[in-house]
Amino acid sequence: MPEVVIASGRQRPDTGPPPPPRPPAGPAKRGGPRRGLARLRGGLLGLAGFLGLVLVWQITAAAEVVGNGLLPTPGTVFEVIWTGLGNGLANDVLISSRRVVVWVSVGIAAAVPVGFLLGWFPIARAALNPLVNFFRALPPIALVPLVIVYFGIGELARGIILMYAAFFATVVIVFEGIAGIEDKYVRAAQTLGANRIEVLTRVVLPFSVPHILTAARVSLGIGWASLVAAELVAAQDGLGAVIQNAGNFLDIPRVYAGIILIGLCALVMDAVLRFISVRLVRWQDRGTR
Amino acid sequence: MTTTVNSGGLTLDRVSKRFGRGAAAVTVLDDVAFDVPEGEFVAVVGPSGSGKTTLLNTVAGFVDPDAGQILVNGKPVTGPGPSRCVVFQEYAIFPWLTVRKNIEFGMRLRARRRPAAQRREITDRYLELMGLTAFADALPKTLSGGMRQRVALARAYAVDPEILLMDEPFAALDAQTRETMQEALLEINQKERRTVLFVTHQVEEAIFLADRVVVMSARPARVQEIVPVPWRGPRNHELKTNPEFIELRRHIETMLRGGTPTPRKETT
Repeated sequence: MPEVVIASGRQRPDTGPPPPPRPPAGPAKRGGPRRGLARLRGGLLGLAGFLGLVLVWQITAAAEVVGNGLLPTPGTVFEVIWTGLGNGLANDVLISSRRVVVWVSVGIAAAVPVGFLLGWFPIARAALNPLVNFFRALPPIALVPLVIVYFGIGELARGIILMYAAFFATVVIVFEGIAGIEDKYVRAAQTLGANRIEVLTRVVLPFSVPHILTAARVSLGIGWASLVAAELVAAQDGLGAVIQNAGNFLDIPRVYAGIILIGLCALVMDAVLRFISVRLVRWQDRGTR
Repeated sequence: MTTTVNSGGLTLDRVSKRFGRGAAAVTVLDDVAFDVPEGEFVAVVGPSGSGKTTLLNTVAGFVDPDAGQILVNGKPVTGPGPSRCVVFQEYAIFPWLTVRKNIEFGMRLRARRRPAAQRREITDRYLELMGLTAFADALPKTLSGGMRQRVALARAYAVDPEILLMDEPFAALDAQTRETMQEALLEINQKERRTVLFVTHQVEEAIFLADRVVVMSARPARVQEIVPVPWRGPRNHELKTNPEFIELRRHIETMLRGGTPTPRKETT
């Protein structure tokens, strides 16, 4: 299970700088019943993917082809989730969600100015980029022993692991976004009379908003991925702790329940952020993100 | 041609620019000197890659010359600024701002700040002049290339620069839109006379728009000849088929191909 965490802790941002709005695209059509239908179709297809997975899972579990009988059926797992939610599991979901949101936000807030610094000053970038990449490559779980030594086993210790993961992911995305700003916009602003500070606040800042939002999405994903590592630090509650404890008692259905709930929470948060960013960066000449 | 102390307009005083060092150095601009008197529209034509854009970037202040200097209203250029606003070939209007906000951009900056009421009035005027009023609140991504360049022109005029610099602003447009834009530029410049330095590789466009055409040589760029354009006042595309126009065009195109020995420079 930790392998999963490490792998996703290294995931690369999938978006570069937004492509320049090249040739005339004609007036953009937005809204309308056609768009709504397309959205419904997309939603249904997404659901179909999940249903397919559950079906394959059901067949595999019922046929007992893998797992030596330790692969529970979807029904069993959903039953555990359903009864568990009324029985303390909902509280774990809430605690984990709050941990992720709060500490990832702290990480992003700390990373944005650093990303600006790196993106805007070539000297800072040259000096700090290798360092950032070094720390970014470290899996958060490897830090657990050190965090326990220096920060104890309280909430702060868990927060630091989440913050760490979010911080370095955000720094990289923000600085790559800013470094990718097209020269023509900076020059246009300069010839209209912008001084250095105005270029920063009126060109670089608005240009970087989509990158910050992308960074937030990626960081939340990494935050959820690092959650188990964070809650390894002697946590009594939270979904990571649920998985740990269930694993210790070989309560496999509950392990699956914890994993599925983490995935669902991450999915919901990502959808919310995507909803927000579509509205915030309407200007971007990009079909679907 | 040597510098005369100019009361207004733009003076290029023996400007040279080299890129690279030592044996690998390439001279891009060689002793380029000409004036753009206040209120005049001067076009610069030259073969592709002859350093026209470098010339314009030097005037804009993005590139420092190795020798010589550039004077705007008698003051030397030291860096980019709103006294020499540039309209670029690529669509450089800000995609996150609406058409109106784009045009207002320069008037919100410290260098050319104007009070809100005046800003609105000026913006409304250029929206109207450029036929953009209906698109005031549109985002650039919904506009065609020609419309985007209209916004760029309006934005440049709105900061009221001493010199307008245009770097092949219509080169990315299709032929038809290009003609429409040439007319739009002539029209706005008729109503709001500005000093314009317009760089293009199209001889026809240069003659059609300008009062004078500066003909550059292939790299390193030198001034081959400064050709006065005899027509004044409103022009339309009929002019392009006028025998005199065609003759002038042929003359310049021959020069650009290096067909005739460089004639003596003439000035008006």
